[in-house]
Amino acid sequence: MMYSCFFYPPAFLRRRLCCLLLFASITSTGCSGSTPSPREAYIRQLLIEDNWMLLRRPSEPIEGQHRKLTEEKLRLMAQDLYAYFRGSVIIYLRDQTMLSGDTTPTAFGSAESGYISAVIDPHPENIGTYYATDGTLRIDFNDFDASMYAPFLFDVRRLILGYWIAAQSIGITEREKAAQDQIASSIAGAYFDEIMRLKAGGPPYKPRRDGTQSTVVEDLWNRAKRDGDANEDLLEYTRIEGNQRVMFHGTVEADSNGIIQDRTGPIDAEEQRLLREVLRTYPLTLSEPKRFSEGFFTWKAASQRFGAGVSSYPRLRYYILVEGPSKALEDDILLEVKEIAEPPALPGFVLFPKQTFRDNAERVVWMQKHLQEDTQNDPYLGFVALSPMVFRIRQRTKYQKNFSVARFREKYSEKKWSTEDLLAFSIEAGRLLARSHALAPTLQGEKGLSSIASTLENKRDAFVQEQRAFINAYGPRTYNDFLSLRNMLDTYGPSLGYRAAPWRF
Amino acid sequence: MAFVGRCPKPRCQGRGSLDPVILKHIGYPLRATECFSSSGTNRVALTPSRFDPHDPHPVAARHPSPCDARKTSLLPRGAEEQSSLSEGQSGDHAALGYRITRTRSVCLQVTSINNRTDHGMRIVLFSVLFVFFPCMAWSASPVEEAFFKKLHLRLMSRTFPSFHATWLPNQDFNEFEVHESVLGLDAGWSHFLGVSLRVEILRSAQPQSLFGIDGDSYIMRLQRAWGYGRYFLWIGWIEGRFGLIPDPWLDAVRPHYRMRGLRALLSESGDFFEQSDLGASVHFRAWKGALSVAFALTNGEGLNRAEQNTGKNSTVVLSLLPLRFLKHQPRLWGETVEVGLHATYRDGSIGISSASNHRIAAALTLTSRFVDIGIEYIYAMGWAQIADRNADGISAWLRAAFATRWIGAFCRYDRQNTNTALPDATRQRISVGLYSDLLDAHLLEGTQRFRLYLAYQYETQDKNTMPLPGIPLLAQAHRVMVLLSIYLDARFQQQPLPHS
Repeated sequence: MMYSCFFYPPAFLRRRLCCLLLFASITSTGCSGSTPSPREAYIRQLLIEDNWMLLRRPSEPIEGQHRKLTEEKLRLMAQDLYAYFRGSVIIYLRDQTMLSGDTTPTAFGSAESGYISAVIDPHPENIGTYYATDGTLRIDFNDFDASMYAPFLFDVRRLILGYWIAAQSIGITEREKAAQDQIASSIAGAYFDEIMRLKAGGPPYKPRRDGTQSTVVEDLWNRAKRDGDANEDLLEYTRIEGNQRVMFHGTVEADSNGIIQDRTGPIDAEEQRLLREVLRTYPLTLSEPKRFSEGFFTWKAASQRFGAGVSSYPRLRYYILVEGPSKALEDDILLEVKEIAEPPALPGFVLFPKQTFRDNAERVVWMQKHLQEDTQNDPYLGFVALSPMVFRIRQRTKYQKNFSVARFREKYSEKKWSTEDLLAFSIEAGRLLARSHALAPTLQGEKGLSSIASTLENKRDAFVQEQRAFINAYGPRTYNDFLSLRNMLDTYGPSLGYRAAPWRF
Repeated sequence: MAFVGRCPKPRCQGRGSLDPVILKHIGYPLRATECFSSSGTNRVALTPSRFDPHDPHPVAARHPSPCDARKTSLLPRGAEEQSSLSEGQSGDHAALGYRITRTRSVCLQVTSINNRTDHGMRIVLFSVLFVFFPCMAWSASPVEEAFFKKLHLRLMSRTFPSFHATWLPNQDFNEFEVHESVLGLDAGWSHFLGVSLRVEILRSAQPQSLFGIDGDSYIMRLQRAWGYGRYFLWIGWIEGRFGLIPDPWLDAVRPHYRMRGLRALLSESGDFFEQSDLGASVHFRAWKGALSVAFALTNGEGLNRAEQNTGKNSTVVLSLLPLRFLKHQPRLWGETVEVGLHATYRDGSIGISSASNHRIAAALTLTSRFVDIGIEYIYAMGWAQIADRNADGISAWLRAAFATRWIGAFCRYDRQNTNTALPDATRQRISVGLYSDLLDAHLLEGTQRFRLYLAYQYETQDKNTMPLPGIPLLAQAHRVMVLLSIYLDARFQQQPLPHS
């Protein structure tokens, strides 16, 4: 009787159970293999998550292109510290929200300033020139792909980190290390001062080409004016054959270390159909559609662009040549059509309503229009949603020229520019960011100025000190992450070991 | 309606209270007569009999009798939170058998009630049957007929529509939503083999995402899909599952937590456990369910990712219901009480980098018809895909029905530490409110539920807590919710229950 109380399975069941347990013990040992450091594992996971859709994207519209380009992007990030910084905004944001060990929580957060319109990825190479419709040359942030409502401090710290990395990238000498340490102070101080100036009723910061700006900005303007006036974009990406202008397909700038720098290629019939549809509907989203005559956006030709950006390196980007104001070849206009993706997700970050915009292209264009000085920067700015893809359209012109860390490095090595120039430029960037935050509407609809000002009020030193503490901890960590990525690419291969799910029936 | 008489079952010596009871059986109410005696066989007899539709008081439960307490012991436990074992299929048939105490015989006479309120349910049930069985009958050989005679089917649904009004320091919002809706189909053959499917709805775009289907439409996805085989032993049974299986920990604790409509267990809502995963599991349940052991081997990526690494999650779950060891199960206010002790350990990894994702959890629950009390604690070694991030959470809940049975109150407290290495990294949520069961009490005893919650929630977080460290005020929320928790269950079964 006692025996029968205990479970004693029959023979066939015993065998099956034994097999099952053996299988379990064998497979579960897969958990414990050689394990990388937790931080390295985390970075690897986030980078794959960030590029997951591209790595697994089916072969549309160009076979095998996305995965190859994404692998090139990761390689590009591993070659250059600044490129790593540009391609790793998701890691920065997660570190800010998840509060890793050496990340400093802010004392400058408030409920009111938690949902301002934020660039999310402000850094030196995302600052560029514009030739506005009023004929002025301007400078502004120009990449809003990740923009969303977020605490203003996310932007301030990202900007500081960007300049810190830029200083690191240009090979700053030991003698000038002190200047690198001043970056956080100069940007945070400039941001603070500009907010307070606006709060006191001062006019918004609108830098103009009047000789009062930094060497770097003046250089940008000079080159923009020179190349823009020369219509260099048309010279580079188009050719005149007979009596018509056609797209150039080929290498504009030679590849470097297997990374495409500037290359264009032909489009197929499907892409042409898609782009014609883009061109048909896009003018409706322009700020001032009436300023363009009928026939202005008449299709002439198109090409695909490769090798632009870092985060968006594998994404679709096209150039469309349109007729422009007249049938003359000289006034043709080149439009850039860029695929827009989701902004990096911030787990647990609650927004009401959850989705403010209809699609990501609308989000990007709306943010650009409100975070820039005004809508005159680019009258061609618009968007199109061709579900499931969305595109942002802007003018491709040499009047729009970005700051380049590589150029600064070159000038620095030639001793033409110094860290003082970088510091001066960083102060301008801090002021630009403050103006953008202050004048753009928050999620609640009012301008961000009063909420930011009330959060910062009378605490300049503490604010600056906090940002210095942040960059002293987080700057070296970012550098170490960059080194980790190099190791990981060596260890796991070009796609960091990502395996696309096999086809299933 | 209670009357005294002799049990109609042949050879049953039971004399005493004979009471018509309304039971849910195959999706619409059934009527049973039960007899309690101090001795007799341990069998349960389910014999159809006719029901008088002109009976002015067909529902015994509307007129509570001293026998009501015993009636509930006949019904499936853990009716609110559904799993294949506890909520139904043949699992609850076995549980039904277990719950008949061996010291008394219970004879049931079951019949369906011919009322008009169950027409909707019948339509659902018969529409399934009319699709399935005609196909079967078309070319039925004697062997196939025998097969289909042992087939049983079950349809279940769970829906939580709600209205929320939330106040944050700098914004407020209100909306109607359906935050969970599940439709399930179980089909089993002779209680030994079967398949279980669940589909659920969810928004096509994640929060903050603008990349949804047709805006942010509700879409359906497979939540669970597994086949099972079960082998009955003298002291219990052993079951193997294979497919998209429920997490064994949640599967063990959920039946003892009856406020899912309000909020899922912290184990689930705190991102400690995924509700289902691809893999296989073995479950052993013995001594009337007093002891349950489960071992699962899964991918570890949860519901919405394919396997990313070569490691597998190994989970062991132990559940003890000690009161079932007793000869006479204790009662609280005349109702059966169930005390549960649950514990689990998971050796897990997640993501392509095999970040460690281990868990230790324990829960203590007390469930009865009138009162539910529970506490759970979860410790995570590796959380949110960060291998060196430890987190923990504790949650306690209390639900108590008032004397009127159809109205009650509840409260729940959640505290989650998102980084145990840092001070001030916790977030808290307090939920209090009232509920009312809108269906008649007799239906609530089964797996049907139509419960209305009126809840108030207060959320806070400390300064080092994600997602916005340093800005705890942003997460300080007051929320008022009106929520409907609907469970419906329709079963068809041709074979008598197997009895252990």
